[in-house]
Amino acid sequence: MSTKLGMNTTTADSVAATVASLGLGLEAIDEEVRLARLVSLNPLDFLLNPGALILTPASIGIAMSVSADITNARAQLDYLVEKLRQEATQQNQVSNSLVSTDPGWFAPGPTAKKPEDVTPFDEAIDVFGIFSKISDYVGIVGGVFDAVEKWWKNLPPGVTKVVKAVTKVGKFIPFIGIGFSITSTVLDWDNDNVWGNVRNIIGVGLDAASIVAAVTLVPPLTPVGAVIEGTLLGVGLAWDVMDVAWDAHDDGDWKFPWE
Amino acid sequence: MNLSDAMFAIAAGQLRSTAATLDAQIAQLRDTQEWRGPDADKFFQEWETDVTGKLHAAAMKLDALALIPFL
Repeated sequence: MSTKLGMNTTTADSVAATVASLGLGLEAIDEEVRLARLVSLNPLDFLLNPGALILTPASIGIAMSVSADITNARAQLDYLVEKLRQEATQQNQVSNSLVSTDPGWFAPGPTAKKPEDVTPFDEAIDVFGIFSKISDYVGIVGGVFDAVEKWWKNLPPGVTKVVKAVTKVGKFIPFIGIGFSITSTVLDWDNDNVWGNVRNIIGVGLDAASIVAAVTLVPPLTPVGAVIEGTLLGVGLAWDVMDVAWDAHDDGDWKFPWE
Repeated sequence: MNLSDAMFAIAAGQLRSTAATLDAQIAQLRDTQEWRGPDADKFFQEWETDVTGKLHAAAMKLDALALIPFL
């Protein structure tokens, strides 16, 4: 309890208003530092913030300490402002009590409790932001899937019919392709040409990948699946062309100009 | 968001400015002597140590932050 009665409650309100106006700024700075830390530690956050620079390892620890300082300062501010208002209210009640039997004399003192400081280690929880933010990422992916599904449903019926027919037939093509690849790998097997065998096995691997990736051709993922399958097809074709050219080179059918 | 040394310098400046405003506010309360005594002294001391002191410390640390330049 103070020795002087009569602190004006408007004084406490004025301090509270100032603190409130500054609180948002402190929150924004804290958020900047937090994001800097996340971007530096979490590859997903880094990817979600194109062009972001990352903190040096030592600075990551310092940033954790900065966040702890700001968090503590804000918590202490809340506590002190509450305490000041309670003090002012109490003094005001007491000041307005003319005789010692007036209820104001029994007004309770400040009850605000000083908060415990957080440590930089508490801030380290964000080190595992990759886990704590999983729900965010799941939400983002879910949103993309929803958008794709909506897009698929809104396509003209003729288009979806054609795509379904093509995928119905097309899904067998990789199986035929891998059959040919395995057959040619076995028939072309040459113990004296290890690299040639490896090339053929890689060709089989690409065909196998296209079979696995066929699951993405199921609507509504069809557009995404088409891109994946198209990419695998392109890589597979390029690999086959390279393989044929290499075989021809090994057989002496052609030489590089410098050979 | 593009992190940069300049951004941290600005943030450090904002923290110092915030601390100065809070200091001024509380100095005004102290100067009016509306509230005196041990409770008041403790309040002012906590304000300086736990609030403005921490904000100044955070600003100093922000000055020391460094980014990896080649990314």
